[in-house]
Amino acid sequence: MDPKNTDPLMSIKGLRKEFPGTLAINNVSFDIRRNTIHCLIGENGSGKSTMIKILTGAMERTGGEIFFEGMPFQPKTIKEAMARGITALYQELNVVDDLSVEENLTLGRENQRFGMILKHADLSSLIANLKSLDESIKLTDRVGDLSVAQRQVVEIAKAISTDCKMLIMDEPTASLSEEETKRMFKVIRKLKSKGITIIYISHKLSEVFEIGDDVSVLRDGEMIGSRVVAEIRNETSCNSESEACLELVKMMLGKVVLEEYVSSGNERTEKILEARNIGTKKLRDVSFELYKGEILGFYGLVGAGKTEVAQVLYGMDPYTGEILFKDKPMKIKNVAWALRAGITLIPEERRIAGIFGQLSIRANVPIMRMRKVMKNGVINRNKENQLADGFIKNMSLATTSREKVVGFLSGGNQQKVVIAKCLNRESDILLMDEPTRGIDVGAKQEIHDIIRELANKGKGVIVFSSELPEIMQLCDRIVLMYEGSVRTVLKNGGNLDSDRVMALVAGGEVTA
Amino acid sequence: MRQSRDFTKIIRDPKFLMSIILILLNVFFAIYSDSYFSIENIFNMLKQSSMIIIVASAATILMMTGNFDLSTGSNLAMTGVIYAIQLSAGMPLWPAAIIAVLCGSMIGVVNGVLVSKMEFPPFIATLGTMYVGRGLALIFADGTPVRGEKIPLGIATLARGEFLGIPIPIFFIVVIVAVFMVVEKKSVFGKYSMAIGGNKNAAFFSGINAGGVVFWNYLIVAVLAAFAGILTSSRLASGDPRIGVGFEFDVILAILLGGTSLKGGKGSVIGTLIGALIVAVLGNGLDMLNILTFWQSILKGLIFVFAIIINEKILKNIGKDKLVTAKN
Repeated sequence: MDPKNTDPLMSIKGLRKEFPGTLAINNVSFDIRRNTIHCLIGENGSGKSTMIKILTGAMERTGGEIFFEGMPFQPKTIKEAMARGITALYQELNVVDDLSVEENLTLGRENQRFGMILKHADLSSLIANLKSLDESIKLTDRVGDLSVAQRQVVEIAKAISTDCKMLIMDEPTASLSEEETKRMFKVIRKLKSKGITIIYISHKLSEVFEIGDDVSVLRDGEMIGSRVVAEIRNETSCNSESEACLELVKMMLGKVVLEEYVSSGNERTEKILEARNIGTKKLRDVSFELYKGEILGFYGLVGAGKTEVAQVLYGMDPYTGEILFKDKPMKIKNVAWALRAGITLIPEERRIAGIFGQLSIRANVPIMRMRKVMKNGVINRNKENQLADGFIKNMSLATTSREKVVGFLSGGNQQKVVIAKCLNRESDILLMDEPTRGIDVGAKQEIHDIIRELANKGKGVIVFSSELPEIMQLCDRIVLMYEGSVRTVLKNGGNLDSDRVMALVAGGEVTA
Repeated sequence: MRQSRDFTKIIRDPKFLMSIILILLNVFFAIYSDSYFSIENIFNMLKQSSMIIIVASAATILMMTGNFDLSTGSNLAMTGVIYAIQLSAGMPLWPAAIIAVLCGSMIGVVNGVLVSKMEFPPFIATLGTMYVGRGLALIFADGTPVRGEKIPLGIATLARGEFLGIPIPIFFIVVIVAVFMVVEKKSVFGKYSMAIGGNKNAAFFSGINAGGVVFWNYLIVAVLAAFAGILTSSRLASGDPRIGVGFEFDVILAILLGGTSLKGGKGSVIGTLIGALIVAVLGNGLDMLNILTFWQSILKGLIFVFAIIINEKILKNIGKDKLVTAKN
C-alpha cells in the first residue's frame, strides 16, 4: 500500500474557538483516518456544532491547526471548504422542493448556452451516482414528493458528484423511521466503499456501534477521547452493547459531582396527572404519574424524548394514548386546552419562547392571565405594579425597577421573569424545560429553591433537564428516557447513584 | 395508478381551478350580455389589461424568488409623465421613449440595491420607492396631466394602432408572455429564481449568486413597468401623474391567482396570464352588464379569497389523501 494512504485524512491539532466570554472549543486534537466512518458525539453545548462550522468554513477558528490531506486547511468560506472536498449534510435539507431531482442535482452547474438550459446533456454520471445510492429515485421526480430519507439521498448524490472526499453528516437519522434508518446506513456504507470519509454526528449511541469505525467524544469544548469502536467493544469483553454504550456515556458526561438531594417530605397522595401509553412520531408507550407537591424529573440523553414529552403535555404535538387530569381523561388539543386544564410550560428557549424582550418586567408578568390586572375592562396600572412588585420581592429578582426592559436583565433574572409570568397563571401543574440552562451558579440555586417552594405549596412540577446533577439534586422521582420510551422510573434518595442512572440512559437493562 | 396520479396532479395545480373560473365567467357574460362576446369587445378588454399582463409576467419571476414590487404603479405613472414632457418639448417619439424607460428602470436599480445588497425587506424597500416615484411623477407634471400641442399624433399608435387587423398591444402581450414563459421554464435565470425562493440555502450551497439574480429581477420588472407607462401614455395621449394607483396590487393579485406563492419557490407565467384575464373579464363583463364599478372590487376580492381557499384547503388535500391511500 502507498504509505501516504496510511496518513490520516485530517489532522486536527490544538484547535481553539473563542467567542466573546466563552471558550467553545479548547485545545482539541484528533485524527480522522482515511476512508472511515468517524462518529462525533457529545451532549448539547459540547462543541460539536462549532466543530462542524469550522470544518465546513462557516466559521473561522481562533487557534490551532488543521491539516487536510497533509496540507494546512483554513477555509474562510463554505465554498472554499467544498473546493477542497469537504461537504456537509445538514439537518435542514438543502434541496429545492419544487424542482425535479435532476434539476436539483445540476443546480448551479447547468449545461447552458446563451442562458438557456440544454436538456439531455450528459447525465450518465449523475444517474450512476443516484442509482448506486437508491434505486427507487427517478430523475424526473419532484423533490417535494419524495420522503425525507430520499431527499437526503438526493443531497448526498449532489455532494458526491463534486469530488467530495469528506462528508459531514449532522444527525442524518434524526427524523427517519427505523426502516429508513436502515436504508440510510446502507447508503453510508456505500459512500464508504466509494472511498469517502464520513464524520457522523449522532445522539443515538447504538448507531455508533452499528456503523462507526472510530468515535470521538467532546465535552464542554474539550476532546475527551478518540477511540476505535472495535476496541471499545473488545474491552467491554462481552457482547453487551449497552455496556459499551455506558463507556461512551461516562466519557460524554464526565464525573458527575452531586449535591445531596433533600427530600421535600411531601406525601404522594393526590394524583393530579397521569399519562398512559403516549405515542408520537418520536415517543413510544410513555406512561407516568405526577402527584401533588411532587417534583418529577425527566432525564435522558439528547434525543431521548424529554422535550417531546413536554410538547405533548402542552398541546404542541398530536399524540395517541391517554392523559388524565385528577383522574379525568382529557385530550389536549392545543396550548389553550393545556392551559385551561391547568398545565403551564416554562419553555427551554428563554429568549425565543419565554420573554417579551422589549417590554418591561411589569408588562411581561401579567400576560398569561390579564384578568388579574384588569379593572372595569381595562388594564389597571396599580394592579400591574402590585403584581410585578410581588414577584420581584418573592423571587428576589435583581432589578432597579419594575419598568426595566426584560431584554437587558441577566439570564438568571430573565428566567425568573419567565417563571413569574407562568406562575401568574396559577396552574396546578408546571412543566419546566431546562429551567437553569445557561445561567450562573448562584441564580441556579435560587431557581431550585423557587421550584422546591412551589412543590411545597402543592403544585406538581415536572423538570425536564439534560443536567444530571440538577435532576438528582432536585427531583423526588426520576423518569429515565431512552430512545423515545421510558426506561424506568426511579425514586430519588438512598442508594441511587449517578453510575446507575448513566447505565440506564445508555440503554442498560433495568435491574433491581 | 399512473393515470390517477397525473389526474390529481392536474387538479392540485392552481391553474386548473383558475381556468375553470375563467371559462365560467366567459360563459356567464356571453349569456347575459349581448355585447360581451364580440371580437371588438374582446380586443378592447385585452388592450385595457395589457399593461397588467406585461408587468405581471416579469413580476412572476420576481415573486418566484420570494420578493415582490410595490413600486410598479408609481413607476408607470412617472415614466409616462417623463415621456409626455419630452414629447411636448418637441423630442421625437423613439428617443423620448428610450430615455423615459431608462428613467423608470432607475427605480428597479434602487429596489434591487436595497433588497439584494442592503438586505431590506422587499415590502419596505418597494414601499419607499412607490412613494418617491409617485411624488416625482407629481412634481415633474406639476400635479396635472401633461398634454400639449406639440405631442405628436403618433403617440397613440403604440396603444391604439393595429397590425393585420389586430391591436398592437395584443402582440406585446403574446411576445412578452412567451418570452417570460421561456425564461421561467427553460432558462438558467428562471431556474435560479425558483431555487432562491424555494430554498435559499440550497441555492447558496449550489453556488448561485442570489443577490445578483434578485437584483436583475427587480431591474427587469422596472423596465417592463416603465414600458407599461409608455403604453399608458400612448393610450391617453398624455402623461397623467395620478394614473396607476393600485396598479401594483392588480399585478400582485393576478400573479397570486395564477398560483405563484408569495413566499416564492413556485410559480407560472401562464398562470399569471390566466389570473390577469380573470380580473380583466370580470371588470369588462360587469361593465357590459352596467353594474356599478364598486362591485367589481368586491367580486375581485371574493374570487381571490375563495380561489385561494379552494386551492389551499380543498384541492391540495384531495391529491394528498389519494396518495396516502395508494401507499397503503
